[in-house]
Amino acid sequence: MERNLKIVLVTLIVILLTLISFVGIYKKDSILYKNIIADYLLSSNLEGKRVIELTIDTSTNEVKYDKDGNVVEDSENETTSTDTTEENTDEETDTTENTEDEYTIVNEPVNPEEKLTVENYKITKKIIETRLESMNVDNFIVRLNEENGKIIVEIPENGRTDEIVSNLNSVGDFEIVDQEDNTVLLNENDIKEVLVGYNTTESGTGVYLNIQFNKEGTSKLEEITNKYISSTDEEGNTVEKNVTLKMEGEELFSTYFSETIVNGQLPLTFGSATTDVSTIQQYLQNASSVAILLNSGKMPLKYNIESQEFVKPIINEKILNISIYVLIGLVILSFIYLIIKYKKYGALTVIGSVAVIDLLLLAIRYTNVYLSIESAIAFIILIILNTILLKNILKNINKKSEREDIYKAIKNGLLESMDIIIVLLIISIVFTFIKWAAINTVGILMFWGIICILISHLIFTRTLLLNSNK
Amino acid sequence: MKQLSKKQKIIYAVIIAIILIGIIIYCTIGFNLGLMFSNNKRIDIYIGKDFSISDIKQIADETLDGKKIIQTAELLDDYASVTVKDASEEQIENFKTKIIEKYNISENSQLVNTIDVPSVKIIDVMKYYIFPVLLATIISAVYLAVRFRKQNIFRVFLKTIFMPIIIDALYFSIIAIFRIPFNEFVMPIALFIYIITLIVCAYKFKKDEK
Repeated sequence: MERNLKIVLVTLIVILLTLISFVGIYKKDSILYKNIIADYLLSSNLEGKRVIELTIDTSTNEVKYDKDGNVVEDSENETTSTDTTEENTDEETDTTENTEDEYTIVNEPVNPEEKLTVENYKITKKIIETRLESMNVDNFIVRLNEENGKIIVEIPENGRTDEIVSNLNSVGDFEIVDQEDNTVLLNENDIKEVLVGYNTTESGTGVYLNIQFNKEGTSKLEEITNKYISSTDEEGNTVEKNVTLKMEGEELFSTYFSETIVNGQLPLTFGSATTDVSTIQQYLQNASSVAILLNSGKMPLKYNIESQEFVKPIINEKILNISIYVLIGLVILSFIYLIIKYKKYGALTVIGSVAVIDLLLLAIRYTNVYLSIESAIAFIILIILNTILLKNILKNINKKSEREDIYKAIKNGLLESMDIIIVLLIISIVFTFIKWAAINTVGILMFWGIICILISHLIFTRTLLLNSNK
Repeated sequence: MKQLSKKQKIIYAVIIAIILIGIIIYCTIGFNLGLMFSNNKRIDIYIGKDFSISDIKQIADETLDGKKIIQTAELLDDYASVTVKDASEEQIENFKTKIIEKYNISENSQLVNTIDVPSVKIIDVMKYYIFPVLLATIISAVYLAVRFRKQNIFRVFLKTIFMPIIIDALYFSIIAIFRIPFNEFVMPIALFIYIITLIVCAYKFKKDEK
């Protein structure tokens, strides 16, 4: 009687779990009932992606040269978009002379012809890929047309996509120049690494960028910090020799150095110290973007974002439904196999297997697992593992089995399956630590699936089997 | 060393031959890339109202050649995106005209946007799988070699390393030889085959132990 009661109790618990997992728990939220169970998360190959088209910038810059051939810095360098098929088809540059001021204005292409090589296209593609990896984009495709340098980038569409897109086509150039004559003193080639840091003081938290220069850059920095200082001349006036920091051709600020830097580390402050959390987060985000650009290297070519579009997945609802039905079909087939081969005991293990499904579906929703095409692999592997485990347990149980025999059969069945379980656990743990979404999904799903299989069968199936015989 | 039977020798010879042919085909003409992975033309058309994918597909079948993939685009689903291997200006114009007629849209320069999409490099698809698969295989091989050390630790280790490599190489060779389109399902299936192979290895070693 007590045994039957336990079987009924376990069955009822499994039914309850099934209802929670498949139907949900509804709670009144103002006038509507809302399901408080978390929803499934879908990855970009099931939800859609942003497709960005990058094309080589064909515009020109007006550059002024004096009679000695030196560049004359204007307040603005005019950038004109010229259609290269219209004017100047034979010449790349357009020259006008102004004899009154004795300077020459030359229209120089932003990307000179000699730089438009396959090698530079490939370097640009590599830099974009590095930036996407640094920004923890877990699933992307970068395509390159080697004939015209066009690059198509496909990334998941989510809350970070706009921020990611804004970092894609930045050239990533960095210069420290003499404020007076614009001589380049240091550039991005002298940088070893850029890190983002913050420190908290009484006035608030300040975010800074720590630029670590390489060996050559360190000695250059030491020279610069010795030379560009504030001093007093013979008449007692303060003379400042300043440098200007530039990024993407734009001046960030000018400064002198109050002390010599010998360790090759240049901290740059972002904004001012503040206690406002959202401002700090914004500064951190901006600083991280700059760090990513500088760490990934300077692009040899300048690209424009020609277009960007959100595209729905190829895996439409119809294909998704078919996949779900196929998985359900496989589950049902495994259940039918167990019931036909092992009769009553097979049926009891099916109840335990239903609990596995319930627990796994809940675990998926509460552990931020993004479901994708690859998730189907994990589900099929788990169905196979579950069937193998139950087969190993049930093959030693029959009508004549006593409680002690069933207990041994469960233990031996588990031990017999342990090698497969451990191999799958190794795979799942390794895959879980990989950022790439396709691999990561399989790892996390398999990991939780194995845990759910073990928990469910050790609690529910074991109780059912042990209480099944008179 | 265990002698191979005649049947086993034939099977191994066939596997090696298939893999070699597959490698030659990959090195010479490469894989047959599926539409979304190969060079293609994407035609984005702004419809601006509710539309049915099947209607767009019907019009695309009438006006454009070859295999097509139809998707909705943009957050309001008011764009249709048709991906084809190639299409002439005339075909695109024809397609546009039929869409305008069907949905009563006014002609404007922003209506259709055509983008030439370059192909994906297969190595760019595969490279993110290599490290995790290798690492998981090596750790699994170490575990199985220690666990089944009585069956010759090196034999178990090498078999665990090479079996998934050979089986997956066979899979990719079959894809190359029979020109099966290399699409978004190929790598997930390869991953599945890899995991199953490791399960089979563990099962076989356990069986041999008995």
